[in-house]
Amino acid sequence: MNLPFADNPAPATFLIGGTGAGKTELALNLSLYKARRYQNSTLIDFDIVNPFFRVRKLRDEVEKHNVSVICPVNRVVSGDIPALPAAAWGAVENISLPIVCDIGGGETGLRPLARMSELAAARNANVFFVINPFRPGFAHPAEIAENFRHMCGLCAMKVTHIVANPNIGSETTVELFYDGLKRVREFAATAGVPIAFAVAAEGLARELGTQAADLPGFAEMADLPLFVLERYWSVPWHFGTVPDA
Amino acid sequence: MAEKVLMKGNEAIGEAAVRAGCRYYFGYPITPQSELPAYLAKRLPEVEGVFVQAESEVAAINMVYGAGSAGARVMTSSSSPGVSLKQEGISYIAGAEIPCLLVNVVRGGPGLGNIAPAQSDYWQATRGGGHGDYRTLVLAPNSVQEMADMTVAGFEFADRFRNPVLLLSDGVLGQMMEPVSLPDPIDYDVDSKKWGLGYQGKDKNERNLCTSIFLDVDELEEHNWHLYQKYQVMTDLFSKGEYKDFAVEEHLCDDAEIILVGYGIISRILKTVVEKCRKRGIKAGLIRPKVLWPFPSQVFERLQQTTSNFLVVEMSCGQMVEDVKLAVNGKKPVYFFGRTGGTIPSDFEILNEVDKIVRPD
Repeated sequence: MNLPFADNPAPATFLIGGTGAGKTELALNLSLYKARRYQNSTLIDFDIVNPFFRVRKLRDEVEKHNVSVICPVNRVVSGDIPALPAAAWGAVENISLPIVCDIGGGETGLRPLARMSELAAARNANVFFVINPFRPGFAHPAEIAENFRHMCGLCAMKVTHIVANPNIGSETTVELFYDGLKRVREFAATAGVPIAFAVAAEGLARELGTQAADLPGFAEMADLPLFVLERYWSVPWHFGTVPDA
Repeated sequence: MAEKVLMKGNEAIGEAAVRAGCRYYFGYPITPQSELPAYLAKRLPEVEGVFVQAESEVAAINMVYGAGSAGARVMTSSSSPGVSLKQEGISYIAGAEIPCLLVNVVRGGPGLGNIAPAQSDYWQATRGGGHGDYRTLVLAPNSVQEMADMTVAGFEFADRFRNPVLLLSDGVLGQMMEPVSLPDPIDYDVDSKKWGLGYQGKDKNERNLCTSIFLDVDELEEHNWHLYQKYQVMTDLFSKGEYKDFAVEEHLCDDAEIILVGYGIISRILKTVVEKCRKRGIKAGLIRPKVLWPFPSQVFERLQQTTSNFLVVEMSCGQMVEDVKLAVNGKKPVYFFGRTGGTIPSDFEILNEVDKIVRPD
């Protein structure tokens, strides 16, 4: 399997894309995958858009698995303020540290990225543009192209790969997955940017006829690696639930 | 209905509004509803609509008053402190009987509070909120799909009753993403309202007037009783008429020893609690008001005859519980459990409350 960070001892990954493309879910899972593969990893919450559905809410959960989380301190964890944690810069500068950077969605979210472009280039970072073709503004290749151009222009970073994340949550079917993937492929071919991998939740991957050896992890799927993830964001009240009696 | 897409609740309201013929949005940004104006700022120009970020909430609601008077489908949205600012305009709109859709994506209060989800604007929503004898129809969705469906229904109800309709949501519903089937778009005729300022069917010298000022005391009293009668008609339609099934959802209530009561996002947690109760041998049921005013009292009047207890759960210190107590009228105990300040109660802590009531030993 040809993975974009296979030969890199401490890969840096930046996840960008539209609002709700699935960046945070993917960031959580990629950092868990890297922690298993490299013994540790660091997940950096660079989202300044708003504090809902952020990695900071799952900090305790992922830190059990050798993932360090850098996010705003507790005092401002629910604050609606566009502040970035100072420790984030040190982590991006530390070339021996495998990192995953979760960038906020849309135009506002991309702004902090320009400040990091030199550091990212120095680390030969993977810059993944995550696309869910079932989200507004990303339904058709022409529409994706327009938003892609606009967003790349804002962030001063060169996108190295596309990540295809076609889903409508728990109701995603095999047919729907392939329909979405086809549209992402059409866009990627036109844009001349390689697709690093596609993404599917565990249940869907099984329906697609494949599975990763460990979760989260990579599985074989025709001509494209499939990153099989566990869904951490279902609904907020599921945290702290009690098992069935 | 089109194929499903993945949307945030705030975005789903925006797209459903456009498809329901809304071409005018006036508002002012505030977390956690800003995705809605952000969506419409892009979307409305595509359909020759008008999006204005006003200089304040007060300005925005009065722009809604103007566009609604002209006969247009028009909306505004905000979150709790912003909705407080709009109350004077909402009272004028209700007084002048102007249809419009208002959206409150509720956050924690009082005061500036915080941006986390809450249900503490129930009183403001269902008691009018502003000054004078008036009511707003209040709809309470519990999913992204219902955010879209109730947006369309809200515009229909607003036109039918010539009344403002309030969609009462919260920070979870606004921010969470779920699959949604969007409604088919309709062509809406702005000039269809015979009372509207834009109506062209009158004699050249006749003009419609939309106003809430009645300087003569007899005229104002007559107007207020006219509004009261309209609210009675609405109450009848939602309690026993054509909208009675729309107004409330009942789940496993017939044999229930305890009935849980919650609206909006809480109702989804309560459904899980009901399932877990049943697995533990506790006969639990759920009443979920989908319309908060007029309140579906008739369901409580009926079910108090067969159940032993009611437990009302809210993300507030207890507001809807008062309407439940009025409907149950002292005939059965009505208990309350609430979390506030932005905390979403877990099914675990609600189960503990159920245990305390039905298994006190």
